[in-house]
Amino acid sequence: MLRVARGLTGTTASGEELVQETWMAVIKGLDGFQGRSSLKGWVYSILKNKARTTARRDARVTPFSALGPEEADRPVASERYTAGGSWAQPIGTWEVDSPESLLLAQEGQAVVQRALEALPERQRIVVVMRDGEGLSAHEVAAVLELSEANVRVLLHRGRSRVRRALAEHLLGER
Amino acid sequence: MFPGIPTCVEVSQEVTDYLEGDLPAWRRALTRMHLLGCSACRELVRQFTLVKGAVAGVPPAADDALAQDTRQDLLAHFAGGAPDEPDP
Repeated sequence: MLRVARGLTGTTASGEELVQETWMAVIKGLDGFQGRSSLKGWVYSILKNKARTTARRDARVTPFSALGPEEADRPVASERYTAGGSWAQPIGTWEVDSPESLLLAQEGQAVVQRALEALPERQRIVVVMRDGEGLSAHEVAAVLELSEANVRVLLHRGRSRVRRALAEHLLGER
Repeated sequence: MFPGIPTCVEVSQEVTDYLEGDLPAWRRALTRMHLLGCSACRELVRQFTLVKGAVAGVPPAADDALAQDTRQDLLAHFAGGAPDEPDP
């Protein structure tokens, strides 16, 4: 949750504060929790609402507007494909056979962490919630008040950027 | 190219939908047919799966970055010139 809170607020200190406020609200509100959503999803909606309140107060609201993909958002650099949509320059093979060995190989973990920190805010929030915290896409959409389609786009772009950061690190591939 | 089977570019655009199980069944089946015959796209799909797993596997110790930040703040504060005080 701390990572999500930091993702939402942008700083470590604000993230910690947000987590504390959230837990207090959770404790107060637990009696009234009716179990219609998952507990995790409910906690995250409190987190998100508090972040939104703070952000409004600090005039740091980021609109979740959908934009077209930048080149960096693409899973693979455009020039690797022919005009017809086939591979001109196929991507290289990663010589790892599991996420664990990926993280261990050549400081893979540091690369992933840096890549996450470098993501545009909305992509980072979605990737951390979905892949880091294991929320379902439906829960992420509910918490962030986005459509599932929008969540999927942000997830795709965020994962694409992390993949390319790893490809560059592992293979020097751009 | 066979009509209906996605191109490599299309596979790359839909890889997240494919892995999340969000493609309609017919599209998923056509994508699988493409993947059967295209090792580069298979590798791309595999890499996306590894990325998802890697993000999941970044351990909570990543939050020790907080402890590091606090430590840095404290060090900076004390290095800022507070005179040494004798131990109580």
